[in-house]
Amino acid sequence: MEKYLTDMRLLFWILPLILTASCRQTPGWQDDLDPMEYVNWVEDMNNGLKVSKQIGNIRFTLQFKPLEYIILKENGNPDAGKEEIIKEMEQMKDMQYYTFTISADDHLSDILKYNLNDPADYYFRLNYFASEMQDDLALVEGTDTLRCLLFHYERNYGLAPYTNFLLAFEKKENGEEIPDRTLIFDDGALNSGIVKITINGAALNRMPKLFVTTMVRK
Amino acid sequence: MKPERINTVLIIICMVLLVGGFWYFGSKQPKIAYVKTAMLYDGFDYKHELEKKLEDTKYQRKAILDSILMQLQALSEQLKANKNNDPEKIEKFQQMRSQYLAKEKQFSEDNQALAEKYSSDIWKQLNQYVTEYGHQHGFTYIFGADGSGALMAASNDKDITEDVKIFVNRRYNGKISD
Repeated sequence: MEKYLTDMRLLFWILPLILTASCRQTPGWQDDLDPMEYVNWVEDMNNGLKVSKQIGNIRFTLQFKPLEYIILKENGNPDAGKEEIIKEMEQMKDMQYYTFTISADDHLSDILKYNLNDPADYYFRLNYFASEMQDDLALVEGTDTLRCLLFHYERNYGLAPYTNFLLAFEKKENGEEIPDRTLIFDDGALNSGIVKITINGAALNRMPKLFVTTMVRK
Repeated sequence: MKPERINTVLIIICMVLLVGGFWYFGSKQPKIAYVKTAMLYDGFDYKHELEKKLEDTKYQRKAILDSILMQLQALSEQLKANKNNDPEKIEKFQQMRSQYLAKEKQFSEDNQALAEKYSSDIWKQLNQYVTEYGHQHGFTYIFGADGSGALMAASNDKDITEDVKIFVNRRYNGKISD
């Protein structure tokens, strides 16, 4: 009888653990993810926070970056300083952040050198990417058109076959449902015309939470 | 085995081969459709946006020209009113007239170049999205019926203009799937 009771007590503790574990492994279940899983989820194109569009040979990719993702990528180990993480999130919380990537399918070097008709085009593009491009970017969220407030051109000096632009826009208060967010880029250097890329609201609304951050927030 | 049963089995085998053959060769047929390019072009959101942008630019340039023209007309009236005109005024009028004509020529050329650039940008994106539509829907060929005689006749059920129009507008506006 005593052995039976011990077994029952054991079961009482193990059963919830099994149930919790099984829930976490169900495909499509958006539970709290650990840091590695969270980063992979955000970068997985199937989840809709990273979208891509091709016009001719030029490919434009937009990655939405939740605050947790940015901090994980910057800090590496989010457990290192939880207070620091909270402080960082507080500082960044008024903006929404994106990485906009431009690459060319048949070109393995710097996009600055892609299909140059004239050597002067190289410097024109360099100048455009470094400063003027910011004015040609906007984000449409619901009925609002937001200007690009922070812009940084990551020049890689031909070390990568793509070029990254770090963008930040004002963060709107949307209530419960986040609408679609469409980046509009009126390309002034690569002859692609107006490029629109949409991050689907559905993807933004079903973002998982970061396990560590959830603990921190509590 | 009885001869009747052998016959039945043979008939079944033949039927299976026949159906299989039809299926196999049928699936190997290229999937072909056509779009009315003028309709597609006219229904493309990007075309409407650039059309408006071009009109705005033309309007702004015309406003600059109109402003110079008004000054020119005022000066001309003054010159007509005075019989003993100051040579400086006459020179100023001539300079302004040359400036007006040069600007008019420059704006006309710029408008033409801008219209050509926009048209090229529109076709570039349209071709991209039609290609994507073709890949996603398994088309081997999508012809463009542009009235030039390249496609002389086609059945209406092969006309996919409306579907493609919806697709290209969704793609242009940033949506990634159907």
